[in-house]
Amino acid sequence: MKLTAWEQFPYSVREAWKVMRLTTFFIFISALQLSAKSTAQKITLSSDGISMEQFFSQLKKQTGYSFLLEIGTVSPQQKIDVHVTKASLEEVLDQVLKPLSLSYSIDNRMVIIKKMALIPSLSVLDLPPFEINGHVTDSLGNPLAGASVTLKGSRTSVGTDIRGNFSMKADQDNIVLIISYTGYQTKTITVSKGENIKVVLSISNNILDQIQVIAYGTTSKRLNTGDVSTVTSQTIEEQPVTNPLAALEGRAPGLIITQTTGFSGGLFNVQIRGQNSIFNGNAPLYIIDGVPFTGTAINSQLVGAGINGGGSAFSNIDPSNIVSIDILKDADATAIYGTRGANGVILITTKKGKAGKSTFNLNAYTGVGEVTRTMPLLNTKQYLAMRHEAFANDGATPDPNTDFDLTTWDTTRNVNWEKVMIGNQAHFINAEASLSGGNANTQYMVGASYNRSTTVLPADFADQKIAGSISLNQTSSDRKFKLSFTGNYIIDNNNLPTTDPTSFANALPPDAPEPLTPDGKLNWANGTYTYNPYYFLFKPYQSNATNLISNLTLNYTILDGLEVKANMGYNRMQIDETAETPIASLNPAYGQTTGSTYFSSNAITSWIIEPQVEYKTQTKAGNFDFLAGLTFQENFTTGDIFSATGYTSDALLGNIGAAAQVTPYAITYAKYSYQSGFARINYNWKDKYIINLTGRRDGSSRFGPGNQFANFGAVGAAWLFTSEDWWKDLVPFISFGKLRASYGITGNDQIGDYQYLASWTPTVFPYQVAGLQPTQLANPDYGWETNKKSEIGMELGFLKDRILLSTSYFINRSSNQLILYTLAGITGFQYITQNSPATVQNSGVEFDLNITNVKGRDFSWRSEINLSIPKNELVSFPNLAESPYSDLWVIGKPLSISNSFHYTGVDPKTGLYVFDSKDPANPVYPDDLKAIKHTGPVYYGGFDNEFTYKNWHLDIFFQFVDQIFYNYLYYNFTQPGMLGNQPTYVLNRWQKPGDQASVEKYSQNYGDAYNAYLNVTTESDQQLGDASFIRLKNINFSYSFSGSWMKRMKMEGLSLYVSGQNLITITHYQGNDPENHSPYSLPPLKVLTVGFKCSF
Amino acid sequence: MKTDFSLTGYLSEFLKGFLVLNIIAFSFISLTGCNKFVEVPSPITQIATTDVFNSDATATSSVVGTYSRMMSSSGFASGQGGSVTVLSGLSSDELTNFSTDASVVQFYKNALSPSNTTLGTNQWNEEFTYIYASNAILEGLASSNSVTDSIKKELEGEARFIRAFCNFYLVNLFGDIPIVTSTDYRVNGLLKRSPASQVYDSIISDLKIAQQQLASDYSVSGGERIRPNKWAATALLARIYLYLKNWTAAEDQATSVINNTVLYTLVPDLNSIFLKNSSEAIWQLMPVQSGQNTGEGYTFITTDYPQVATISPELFNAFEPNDQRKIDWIDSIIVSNQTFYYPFKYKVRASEIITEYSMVLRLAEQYLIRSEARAELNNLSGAADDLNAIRQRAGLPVTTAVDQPSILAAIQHERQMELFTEWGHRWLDLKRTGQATNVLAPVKGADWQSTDTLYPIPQGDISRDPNLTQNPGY
Repeated sequence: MKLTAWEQFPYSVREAWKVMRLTTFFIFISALQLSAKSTAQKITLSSDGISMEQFFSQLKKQTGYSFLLEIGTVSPQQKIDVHVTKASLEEVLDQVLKPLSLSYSIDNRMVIIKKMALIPSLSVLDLPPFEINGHVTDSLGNPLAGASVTLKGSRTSVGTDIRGNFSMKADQDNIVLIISYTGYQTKTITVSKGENIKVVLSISNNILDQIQVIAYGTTSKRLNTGDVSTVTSQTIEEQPVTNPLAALEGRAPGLIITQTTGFSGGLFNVQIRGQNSIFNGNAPLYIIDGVPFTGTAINSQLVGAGINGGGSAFSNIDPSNIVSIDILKDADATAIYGTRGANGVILITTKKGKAGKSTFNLNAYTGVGEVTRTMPLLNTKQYLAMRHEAFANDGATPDPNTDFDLTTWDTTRNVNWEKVMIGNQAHFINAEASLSGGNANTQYMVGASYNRSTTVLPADFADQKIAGSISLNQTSSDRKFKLSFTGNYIIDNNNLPTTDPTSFANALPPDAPEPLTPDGKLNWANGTYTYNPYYFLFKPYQSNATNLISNLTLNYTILDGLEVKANMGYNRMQIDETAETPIASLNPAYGQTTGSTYFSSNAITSWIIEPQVEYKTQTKAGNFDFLAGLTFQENFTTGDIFSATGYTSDALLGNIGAAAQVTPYAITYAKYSYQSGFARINYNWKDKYIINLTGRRDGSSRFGPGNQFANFGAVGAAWLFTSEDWWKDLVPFISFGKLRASYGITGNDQIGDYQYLASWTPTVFPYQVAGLQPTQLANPDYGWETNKKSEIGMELGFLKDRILLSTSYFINRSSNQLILYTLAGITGFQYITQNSPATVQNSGVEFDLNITNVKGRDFSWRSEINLSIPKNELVSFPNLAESPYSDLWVIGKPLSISNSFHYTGVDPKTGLYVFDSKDPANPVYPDDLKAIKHTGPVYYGGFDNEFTYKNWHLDIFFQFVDQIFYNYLYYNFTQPGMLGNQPTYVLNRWQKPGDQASVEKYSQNYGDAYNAYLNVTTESDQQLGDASFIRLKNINFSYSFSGSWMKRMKMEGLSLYVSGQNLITITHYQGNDPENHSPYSLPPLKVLTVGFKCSF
Repeated sequence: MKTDFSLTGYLSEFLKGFLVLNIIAFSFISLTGCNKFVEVPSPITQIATTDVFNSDATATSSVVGTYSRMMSSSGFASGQGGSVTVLSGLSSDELTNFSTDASVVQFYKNALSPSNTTLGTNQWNEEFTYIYASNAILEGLASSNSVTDSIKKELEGEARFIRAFCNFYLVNLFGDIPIVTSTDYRVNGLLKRSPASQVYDSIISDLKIAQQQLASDYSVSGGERIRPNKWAATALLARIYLYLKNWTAAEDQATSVINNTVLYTLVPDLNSIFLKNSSEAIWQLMPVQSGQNTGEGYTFITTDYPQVATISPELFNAFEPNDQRKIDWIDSIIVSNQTFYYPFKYKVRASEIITEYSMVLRLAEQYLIRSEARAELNNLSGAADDLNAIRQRAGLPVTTAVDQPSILAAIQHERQMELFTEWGHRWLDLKRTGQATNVLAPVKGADWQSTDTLYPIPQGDISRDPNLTQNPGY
């Protein structure tokens, strides 16, 4: 039986919730009664010379309250004069009791009257309470609505209204007010009666008080109950990257980003806190300015995947236009995203205009790039020696029909093909400009950027991007109505070869002939040069992408604190791709004479509408923030691929109409509708105790009728213990301390569309007429994968917050996994996707330490280090042994294990690889799978140092990862000795009996040595190796000019900078680059740029 | 001094927030009551079952899809290496194996492992896939109001025919099998095996209905004999009755096909029988892949050292002298001084021009069915007439058999010579006549066990469906 999300809550939680609901109901009822009473409580009484006894009995009659009088306070017969009309109980009591030096307290409908304690300054008491009025603005004069104004030494606190005004009652002169607002420095002022107070708050320098973007709103790091990491525009701008994901590598605890290729537009893998889903999507939910953005590239997997690994949707996002990227991790932060929150959420906010005079900003850089790292390869002398030794070992002689490297080619040639093919310099040009400004009611910003990146290949390939952005904010003069619009558009034309030549550059013999004939054609060297590396360069891949993301938000403040809001977003991304096989690229040996092209076109269109209501109130009992809203979202994906063949001229390859034959290759189509309602209640008591409740009810078209809705929710709580009065005396050096915890349920709906549908698809071939075949069983009752997240965290600030340490420990359990179940063949199908109680647990510890080492007038030095220690475990998988995955996973181990033969070395007698198996030379699959090795990071993080001296600024950032991954042997089918170059690692080979070597004897045929080699490269743990690295990920060095000449030039700022990416990599990795750890993909590039920024 | 804490104030603030939330909660409720928004139409790339049966065209596509798949797979009905024709041929004494695929060798050695993938994929799963499609078609048509009645009748008939045809091979290859009549995998995945007699009952029931529903000509396929019609159902029914030893019914059904001389006549030229739409064809499958003719032609016609199978010496030596079939239907190739004989009923290995269709049911079998039925009913002259019709075409003299046992033996011999390498006839005949062990033990030697007449139920299904049992000997 499948449980609903609700039923999966532990029993205790469900019970507690029931009780809570009941309690809420009672409070609700009594609140209704009370409020009814409070209208009846208006007291009207007019009498001269009424006795105390009569007075109180009248009050009791009119209010229903009881009155207790302390002995000796009043005599029942004492006469007083009372004249009140529709007054509150408090007003009446104040009027009557104060002159008698009596005080009262109200407790549970009981009024207790006692003697007033003697107060030294009795005169104060005589002052009637007076009103304090004030106005709070930011430094630009914009009113700050919702700022908190607290009367020092009391619990009296009010909030400013939308015009920034407040008023409060005080009953003494020279009172002290504390004014605070998220993101601004708290200000304390002394006011006296009658003063017209104007308070200007300036933006806080304390990281704790800066605005923290969270789901559907903002808070501050100080008050946040959830776990959110932020990367700001400063960090992004300092890095010369064209994909914003590249700027996040190593920057946030819990976030792993891996660049899979050094080609522009290539795939980045992103994971927040590990792999949750066994078979389905593990990508975070991305939201750009409130608009959900597909994290998965829509590139055709057929056309360009050979070069870009499938592409990255984020190469169509302009990094320079981003103001902050927030990574939401725990249940408290993500549960409000319901079915989409399981894998974490990444919120991207783009730049907005600021009030003030119009400012023009210009930033331009240019630079060069090279691959980070390559393997040292054999030179011709070493290579030929290897080949001859292999023939000698095999007792064979080179065959002139196949062994061209020894018999036909010029063996005096010595070419480093790595250098020739991927060892060139890529060039970068980037320029961006923006104009922004506005006044208190209107702010605007328009921006544009251009980027051109070439490749490290020996041919003219380039990726060019042009982006534009508009942002407009408008507030009505009564400040009740707000409108905010952003629009971002990018055009990206990427021109690359269809295939990544990296692996060929590694494997080509160093004596291979010139790739081109003198007239610039491919040199096939009389049919001996099958793997001419330039072949790939002759086959271009072109992708033309456009991406529009726009958002409109409307706010209307109905009453003070009550706001209705609508967020509307639209996104359309389209990619057209072509992959050409020109006639000029054809090897004449194969007899083909016509060219061909794949044409592919993919688009995703999505819109979202989210009406919301928010009510904020500051009461004596704490601050409440209620948020509720609805989401309607629709995604529409279409795509097609056509294969066009029979071109007789290369000039026409881009024209589908000129093909002799056009065949549809694949058509994609999917529609996804999503609707839900969400709510959040945030309660903050004096910035000490904060409770945050979130809930969401989600409906998705990815599930069958009747099973489309589910509930999600979370509770988060924080205790700011340093806000306790007793703390400051106790441990003064700890200036900030917060304990927080959260628990909640999120879901994962990254399971593809229409999976519930019993469906038919066209058969490959018609049978007179088109045929249909059943391709999917009706499966209406499969649901979301659920992810239960729990976390505790501690955030500490030392020495007036100069040192900030944040630690968190989390356990995320993903269950209800959607798994392919094998079916008995008699059902007509082999598999069905069903929810299973299989459970994956991700747990971990994360640290983030931020230190202001030196903060002087001229010199300052700030350091930040983050560290994540993740642990992934397959907790349960029913019937794993009988499933098709029995050799893949082990209960209690991470999902990313490699279960392989254990390599034990080279047998000194035979010179062949041997394994830990019954027959060491011939391990048997799967019986001899004995080595379970964990691939992936053991720990990872980043270390940042920022120095400022006068006008000089230097930022150095290191990224580090401790991990095991596949090395150069992984699925490498060319054994040392065969035609094909090898890294110099193979020089330590076995040559004669008794040799202790790390590489088996050279061999050039498919004999015993090859079998042993295949066992190593496809099934053994020898293809795994240390891929740990420390990388100087980014360095940025800049000088900002100052001086009077700038004023004369009307210049606000000018700086020059040098910036570098991936400059140094320290690693023991056997292969090209430890980050993408692939022998088949281009390593990431190291990039060095120089540039300038100026503003007018 | 007044109290710091005002419960009333607190509650009224809370109340405001709470009311707002209540309004939202109401929206929620109305929202959950209206799920329309999250119901999306089916995508254009696939069709929901309900939509398939909304039009005559798509409903027809659902039926012909099965024929297309039969010809594009390399299994059950394909005539290729995974077909009944080849695999049962290897299990019997028709073919000599040349495949190095261990799972194929097991058929030849009569040493099938229950986990044999060729068996599971091509002789079990594939038939059940077609049965599923038929069941889905029958369910879809039953609930459809949009398909024209005449088309609905025809398509229902074809779906029943396909189901019966698949069940016939399953029950003959595996013995008792589960009878699958719905599309619910939760029910089907737990079925147990029904006795063969019940399977035959359901086959007969399907075929009788199909006889009523199917057209009596080939108009639905534009005159091409590539979709089963009423006579295909009748011909298969004749075979079923023969297998069930219901001689009278077998004779009746075969007679009604043989008597339909407008549609069916024996083709005199042995080299023309397997041409497309030949007048002997009752049901043929049309090749669908471009550049291909039949799977049989592609598989058996040998151009180099054999890769699949050749004619066994037992079959080659069983021909009587002057049997024209030995000349027209067998060809040979010499590789490295070795002569290999291969079936040559289909003459085209591969060609863009399609001249041959894959024969599933043909008139000659009906003559042999009726001959056997008549012999069993002691109508020996009638039996001899039918037998001689086949013999004469093969250039042979009339049969010399005179008594019932020798006529029956002659008929079995004739079936071997006439129907070799067609749809496993030899294997099924040896089994139904109880001759399997007698004939095969000497040929196969120690490999042969009497339990080898039934293939094992695939292990995957045994472990996934707790109610399935294994055949003896495995």
